Amino acid sequence: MTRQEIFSKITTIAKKIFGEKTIITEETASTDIEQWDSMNHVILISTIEKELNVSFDIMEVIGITKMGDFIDLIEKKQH
Amino acid sequence: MNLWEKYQACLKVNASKTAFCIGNRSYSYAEFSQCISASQQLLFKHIGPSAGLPVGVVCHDSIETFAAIFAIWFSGSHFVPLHPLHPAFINEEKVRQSGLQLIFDPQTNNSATNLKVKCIDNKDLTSSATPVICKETDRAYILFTSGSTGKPKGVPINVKNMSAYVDGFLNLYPDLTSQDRFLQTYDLTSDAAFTAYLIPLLIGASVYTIPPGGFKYLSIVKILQEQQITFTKFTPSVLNYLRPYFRSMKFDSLLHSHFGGEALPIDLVTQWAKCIPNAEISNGYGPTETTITCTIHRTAIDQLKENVYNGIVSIGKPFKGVNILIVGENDQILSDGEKGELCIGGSQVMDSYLHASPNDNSPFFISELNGITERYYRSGDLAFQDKDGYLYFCGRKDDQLKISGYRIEPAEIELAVSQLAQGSKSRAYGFLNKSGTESIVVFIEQYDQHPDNLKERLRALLLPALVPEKIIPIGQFPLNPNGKVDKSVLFELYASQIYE
Repeated sequence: MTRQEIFSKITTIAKKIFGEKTIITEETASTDIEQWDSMNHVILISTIEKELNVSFDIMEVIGITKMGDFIDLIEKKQH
Repeated sequence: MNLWEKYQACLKVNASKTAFCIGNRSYSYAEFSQCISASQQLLFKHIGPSAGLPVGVVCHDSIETFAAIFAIWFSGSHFVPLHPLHPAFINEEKVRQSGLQLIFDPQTNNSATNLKVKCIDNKDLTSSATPVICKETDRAYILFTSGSTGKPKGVPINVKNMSAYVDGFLNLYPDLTSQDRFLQTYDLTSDAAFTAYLIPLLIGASVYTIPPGGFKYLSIVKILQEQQITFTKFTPSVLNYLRPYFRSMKFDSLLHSHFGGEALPIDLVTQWAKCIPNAEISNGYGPTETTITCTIHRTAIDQLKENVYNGIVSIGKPFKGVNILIVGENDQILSDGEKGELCIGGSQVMDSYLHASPNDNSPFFISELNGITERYYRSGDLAFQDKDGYLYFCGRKDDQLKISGYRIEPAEIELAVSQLAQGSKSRAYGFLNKSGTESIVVFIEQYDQHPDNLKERLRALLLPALVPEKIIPIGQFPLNPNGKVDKSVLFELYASQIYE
């Protein structure tokens, strides 16, 4: 998958969780979206893991602060 | 030796040792004490020594917050915690009920309320003052629990209650030393926080705090890993967030994993135990009215399984100085194995609620145990005691369901759900359905199959009256600031599905 394809899939998942009108960029962080709380963070990660067939370990999850971090991690796992 | 003398003794031996690590900054016992003295001098200036007055503290993640709390105690007054992010009207209610005239707000000026209460800032002060030794009958703090009237209910705890808690706790943990590193994960408006900052400061150990913002459960993991924490206390719900990552977690430094505030499921804690190979597990229980924790089950993980009821780990045995009774509807003492209301007597029990009418004895009753007559607090929790003296929490008396004449414990339904749904966390509650009859709704976390199939399979495990009318899959349980499942938010979020 290209970076753009990964971003597109993650955006679709994020909009489903946070609302269709939510603006998602690679720089979007949890502090930018009111609904991005502990509960939705778990849902976001588990949905990304399931739909993109990847698996994150806890230290990777701790390092995620913005949408772009998901893409970096998934790209790394593809290589 | 009283609590304040214990702290002073610790200071003498551990002056250069780390008392707190907050953010990336460490504070030695000497630095912390200097901050206490400065705050105390401020207090003397405003209210005088030994005033015995309530003083508010807007609780931030800062050394000044902890120093203000200790300064209030060292000045013969008592503290009332206020949360900077709680709605102003809640804090204002606490201010009114406690009669606060003075608030420490180390970071912003009177951000927690809109009331005209004098605020003082204890930042950047260096002067010193002499501690006033508190009397055992002095108040130590006032915390607030949610009252049935919708207004917070004040629970005043005296120094003698707190001393009894500390003695009881340390009696059960004689192996804790000044080398221990405690992780403080609770809001300071909850009494559960005392375990992780009061206890360590009385034995010369260090306290590590969780920074505000971000996701608490991830911050816990980060600090556990980076700071070689040896003692943790958090609610079982934190483990639910972490469960998907158990496979990639290992904390060799952790020696004590203590839980409190919620029922502890054995399947969850058994999985967690694999991440903490050198730790023992303990499960504590205690209403705010009986000072933090009054029973503990402390054991190695393999023995933990021996004391389980309905999939929930025992809450253990009472602290030294705490007496427990299990009573029936007419306050008669029940035998081993019989379920009834758990009642608590002894030196950790509060005197009365704030502003309680002198004639209102409803939270208490007098009973006799082993020839000693004393006052017992009715916890509202259902429990039983086995023949070896272990106590088992069976849910809230209020949550007990009565369906078709059956008295039903939600935990029995939750255990059956957990068995069929690979350990998924669930909660069972009673509700009035469309036809106005009492029925059962089960919320189940992270369950991606059709709930009707689960309902069908539950019929094989449960009596017909216990099979829930509704099963509602949800992402994650909403938690209150203390990490407990927030039932009211849950019912609000899923009202349309519950009552459709």
